[in-house]
Amino acid sequence: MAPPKKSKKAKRESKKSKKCKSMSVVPIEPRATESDWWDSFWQKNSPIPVFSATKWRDECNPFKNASVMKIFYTVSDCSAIPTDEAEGFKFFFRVSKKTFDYICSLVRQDLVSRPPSGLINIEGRLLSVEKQVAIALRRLASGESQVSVGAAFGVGQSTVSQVTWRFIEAVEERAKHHLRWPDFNRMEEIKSKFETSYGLSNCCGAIDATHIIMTLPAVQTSDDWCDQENNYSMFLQGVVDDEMRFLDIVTGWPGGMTVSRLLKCTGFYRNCEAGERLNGNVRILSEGAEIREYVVGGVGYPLLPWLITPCEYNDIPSSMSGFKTNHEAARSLAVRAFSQLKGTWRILSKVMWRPDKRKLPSIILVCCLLHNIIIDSKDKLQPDVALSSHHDPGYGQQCCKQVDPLGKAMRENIAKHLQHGKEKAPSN
Amino acid sequence: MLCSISTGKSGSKWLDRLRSAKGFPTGNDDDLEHFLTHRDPNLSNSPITKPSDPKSISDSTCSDEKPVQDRSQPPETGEKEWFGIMSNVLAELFNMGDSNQIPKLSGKKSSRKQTNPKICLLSSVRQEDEVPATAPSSGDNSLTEMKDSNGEVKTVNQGKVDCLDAEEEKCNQDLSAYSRSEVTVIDTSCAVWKFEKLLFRKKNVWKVRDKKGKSRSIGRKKRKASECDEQLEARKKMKLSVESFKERNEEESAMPSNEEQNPHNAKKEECKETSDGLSQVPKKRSPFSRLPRKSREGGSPVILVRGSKKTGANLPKITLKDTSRRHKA
Repeated sequence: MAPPKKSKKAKRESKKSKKCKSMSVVPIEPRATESDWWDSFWQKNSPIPVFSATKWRDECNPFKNASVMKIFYTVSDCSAIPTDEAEGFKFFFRVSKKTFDYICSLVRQDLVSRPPSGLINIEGRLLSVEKQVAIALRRLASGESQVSVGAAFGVGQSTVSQVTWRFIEAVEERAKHHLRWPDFNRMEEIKSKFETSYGLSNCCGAIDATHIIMTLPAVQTSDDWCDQENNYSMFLQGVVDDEMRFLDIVTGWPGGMTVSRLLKCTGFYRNCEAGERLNGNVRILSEGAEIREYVVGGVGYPLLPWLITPCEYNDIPSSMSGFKTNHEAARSLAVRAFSQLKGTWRILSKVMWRPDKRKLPSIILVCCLLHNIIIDSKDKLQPDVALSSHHDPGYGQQCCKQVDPLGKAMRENIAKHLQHGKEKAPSN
Repeated sequence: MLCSISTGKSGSKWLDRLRSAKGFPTGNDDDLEHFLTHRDPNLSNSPITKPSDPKSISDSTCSDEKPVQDRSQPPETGEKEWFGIMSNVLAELFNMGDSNQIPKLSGKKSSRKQTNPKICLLSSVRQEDEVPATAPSSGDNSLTEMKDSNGEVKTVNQGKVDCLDAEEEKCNQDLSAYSRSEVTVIDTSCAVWKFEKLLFRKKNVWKVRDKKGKSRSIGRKKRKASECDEQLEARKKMKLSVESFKERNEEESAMPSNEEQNPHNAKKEECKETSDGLSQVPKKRSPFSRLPRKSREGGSPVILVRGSKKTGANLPKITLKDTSRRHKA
């Protein structure tokens, strides 16, 4: 059933009234209110294909047989679906209902469907913003094929494709404020958290990079995208704060680079080198040594005054052993952030099937934005969502030999300060 | 018409059909000679021999350089230019052996051959790595080059060639040994988060260049041709028309056994022709080089469109026009 064509007048009226009365006037799913999409979805996809689901299927769904298949498919696929509805919601969409509503509010004006060109589902009804957001989130969260995501919602593959991309574009534009370099006050908070938790004075964050693996059509394959593990991949580098929130990301550079080369391609590097970032208060230690602002990173990164990497030599002086542990603990924030990101938005951890390399960075960015939105909304994620293994399974750490003398001096100062603090602590 | 060529290519009457399609007398060498002699006094004393070995013809036509240079001159220089050009073409076609007009006709037969087929394979696999001016042919893989053409080759057909190509040229000079990728980057440390870069790589050496192509590929269609552009356009069309003339001969003569040679030849020619800055041509042109059978649809059977789709559509007319003008002369 195609949506009834409206006269210009009617359209104008509906537009007018929409202004006054928000969404309810737009003829969205006439038989379904805003929450109904979830009821339908939950009935279809809840762990127990309850009687109500069957009933719903018989009553409402013209594609009975297809529906049965869908139920079994989706359920068999997700054995770990919580029985609790709220938990189930988080399981499917990775966000609480509250956060979900917030995301809808962010993108609503971009996603509102209007007849006749609006997106419609199989029954010929316009898709509500909520359902579109749900479809897109499910696609990003599960990484399942567009067909199976569509099946779970009763929409076609192309609808999933369109809706997801529209959502990505909208979030990319409207959720930017969830990913930004902290202002002075926030940075002071971050630094104090790092100092409290890891004993690292003046540490502003942790940096790491991960590969987003993909397949490429034969004509597009290139060694540039072929990484150390012979996968075609795209880099994602991020700096995270003490809450694993992304403060800065870079993506789009090919996986064939080394991490240190990647770093040098980034605006973060340029800003730091130019003294425009990590240029806050310098800590002056009692011994007169100085510790400037810095981030901690792995051995793949060069040792720089503002990027402190672990000591690579084995015979670490005793003064350094404590530093190494604490450094690794702080750095693991970034590692965990990527595990969390890739686990939550599984589209990033599955091998992407021939993605458009122009679009892929946007997908990655949006996942990072959603990651931050979850943290900003104080949603508690299910702990088993994150990848159990390292975010880059199979990737050995490449070691960067570059050592800046100033960086080395900085590292020694930090280590000394840490040691000093530890020696002081027991006496207190 | 489509079928007439492809089915008849094994036959021996291709030359007749070729001639008849262009309004030349067929089947009789004397008439042809007379026809040509009558039209072109320059050629009056050159003996006309019927090509006995098709392959040798295609070899010789492709190895010459002089006509190529001639062709690259703008058509504004007058009828005389045209005259010379057409003479060359006809000479190439019919092996008239006029050494004044076509001094290099006889030499370098082997140079058009693909000397290293491996390169060809490589480039067809790694399209992103190709550097336009020096990229080896990968005529076997039209998809590859189609894609490339999106980004770069539009330069050739429409305006603003000069500055952009100068840039590109400069790039290529520095980075000719580098592989090349276009990347879309999102960097939240930059004022504009999303931007495109050109990435050049040679082993561990990576170079990043700003991509000018965005404005080129998006804005190009809208841009109206300036006077200079029109000249370029005309020149381009002329080249193509001349080539189409030539290529049809190649097609006909060498198609059965030497299919894979043709793209390479065409590309090679193009490289020479476009030394005036149109270095992007090869990529654009060759994708279509293996679509002759398709492109015959609806056109004159002998005019094979080798160029871009856009200019290709105009080719038959222009070629005919040129020929007819020639006839009137």
